[in-house]
Amino acid sequence: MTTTLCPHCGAPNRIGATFCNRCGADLRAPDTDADRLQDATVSPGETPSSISASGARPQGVEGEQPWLDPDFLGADDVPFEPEEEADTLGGITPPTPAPRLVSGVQGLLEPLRIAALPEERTSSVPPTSGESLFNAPQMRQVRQWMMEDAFVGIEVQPATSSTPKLWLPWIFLLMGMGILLPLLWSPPPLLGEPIRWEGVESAFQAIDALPPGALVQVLWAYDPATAGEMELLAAPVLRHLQKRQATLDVVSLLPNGPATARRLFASLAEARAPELLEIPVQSTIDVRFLPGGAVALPSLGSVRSRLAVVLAAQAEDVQHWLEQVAPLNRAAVVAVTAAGADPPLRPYLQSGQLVGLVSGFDGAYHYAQFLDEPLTPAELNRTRFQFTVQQYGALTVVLIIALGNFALLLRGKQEHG
Amino acid sequence: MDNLVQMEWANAAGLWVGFIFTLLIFSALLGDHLLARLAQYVLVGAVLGYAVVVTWQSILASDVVTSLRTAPQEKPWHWIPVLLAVVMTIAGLERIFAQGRAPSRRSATWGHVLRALGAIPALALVSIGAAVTLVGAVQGTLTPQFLSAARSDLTWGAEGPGPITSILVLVLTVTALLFFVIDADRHLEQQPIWIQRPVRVLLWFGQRALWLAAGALFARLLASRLSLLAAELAHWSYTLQSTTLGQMLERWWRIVIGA
Repeated sequence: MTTTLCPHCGAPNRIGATFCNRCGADLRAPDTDADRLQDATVSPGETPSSISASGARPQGVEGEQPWLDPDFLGADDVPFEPEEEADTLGGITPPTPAPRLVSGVQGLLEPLRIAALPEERTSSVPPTSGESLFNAPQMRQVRQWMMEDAFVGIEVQPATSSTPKLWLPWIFLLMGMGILLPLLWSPPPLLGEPIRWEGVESAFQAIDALPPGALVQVLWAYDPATAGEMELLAAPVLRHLQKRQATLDVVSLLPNGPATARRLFASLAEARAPELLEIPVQSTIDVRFLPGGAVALPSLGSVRSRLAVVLAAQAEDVQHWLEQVAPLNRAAVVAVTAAGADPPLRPYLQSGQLVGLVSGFDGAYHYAQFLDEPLTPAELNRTRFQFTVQQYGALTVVLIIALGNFALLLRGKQEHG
Repeated sequence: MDNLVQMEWANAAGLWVGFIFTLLIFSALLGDHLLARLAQYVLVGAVLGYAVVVTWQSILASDVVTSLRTAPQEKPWHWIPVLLAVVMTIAGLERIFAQGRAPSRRSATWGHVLRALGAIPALALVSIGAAVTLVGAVQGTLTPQFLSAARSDLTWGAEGPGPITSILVLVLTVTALLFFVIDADRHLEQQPIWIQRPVRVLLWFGQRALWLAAGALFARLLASRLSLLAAELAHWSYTLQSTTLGQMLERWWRIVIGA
């Protein structure tokens, strides 16, 4: 088998190898003077030592750089991937390794110790011949580390003993117990009722003031992932719109949006209250999917509607409507959003860009109160269930935060005497 | 009747498949394993597949495509977006299939030409998107919000919480901005003490204002996730109660708790 010698350490490598098996040097590098001097190939049957003996290597090089000699058994060499080397060299045993990752740095300087693993320092017994300290994946990892730039941007602070140790599953366990146990034992609901935020009443009034048949644009910006919360909010608002006999133009930027909308409209039609049965509503509600994301929204600005209702799980969807559509058609906007989207949208309510903001379970609860419609037993049960979980869940989180702070306080006191 | 039976069967199957996949994904809490990953892959694949079908249907139903199908020569400029879409698709496919293959001289030339042509619709998309976003941000957020903030209802001597709220908003906004801009260690070290102390006080307030805002965001986000969890629990609870298994479990539970 034909091999080539590494210009740095002199180890034989197979032809075409990118890096030296012993020292990791780049074998593709352009020829240097030293390379030209030592560039030689051996044919099958020839051993590296025969080349050395035949004078292929110039005199004097080994004297100054003994590690260039293939037979050099210095204490610094570690063969890289010796199994593969032994295989490709037809059974030639590599030199005895020593605990060194990189050796034979080119030049007249002493071989430089660049990296070492902790095991090196503790182990005083040198590895036996042909035995590698690291396996192939470890060696690749070491090479990867050495190729990366030094990482000096962030100084990692070691965890101090005063930091309480947190076992994350405890939080899941406590949350699970806080929510499931009250449901199983059906305790009485806690005192009080959901907070009535500003914006719910104005949203109700904006919809209540619609004349029959008024065109209302609806942006459906949620999908099944958030339907659990959003349907609580969307249901009373859409029921109110139907009660006002509004003509709905429903658009969604999400591929799953139209199916979610159709399902809710179907359930509303199925559960219509008896007193609403006489009110004519839109027979078919076309829910369109508008591909292209927020960039496509300005095309809706040409629709002259009386009101726009944005049903969104994220605040960004309401912002997009206020930025792209509302300035064009000047229609008043009511946002119906998940609780998490509420804080970023408050400034829009205060600036008057939103005429109403209904958010979260509490917003849905109060909007349904404004509707003044008797709830069906199923709706009543569901509302009670939701209310209980919200209250006990919030209580559990407060408890977890308090416990965490208490643990931190105790630990701090112990640390400081 | 057959349709009704099929629908009920499909609903029941969907319910149990959803339940099993929910448990599988939830089991990722115990560590990464094959079944959890399988459930995630199925979820992502199903969502993407459905999205592709819906997008394709909506494109076919769009005004541009409909008019081209009914009267191809009536509005020739409608062909421009179609042409750009085709060019972009071909250029994208060329890049996908050319990966990892050594190109011949001829194919390399074609590749360069296709990439140059494919860059035209890509650049149009990016530039139009950037322009729309920028104009929208100015007309829908920056200008109205600035005008709203600049319009102060602060009246000296007025009663009620209005003036206090206005002052508080002003102070917290300014201090929060200062906290973002000023690095106490870097900017204040060389300053005289009579500048350092008041600025440090303002920074202290700014930091607390940010903490407060983050706390409000966290609280509302938590309420949102609790609502989601409660809705899912309610859905499962009421669906299970309507089944024979659910009624059996309920009877058993009533015996256990002595109700």
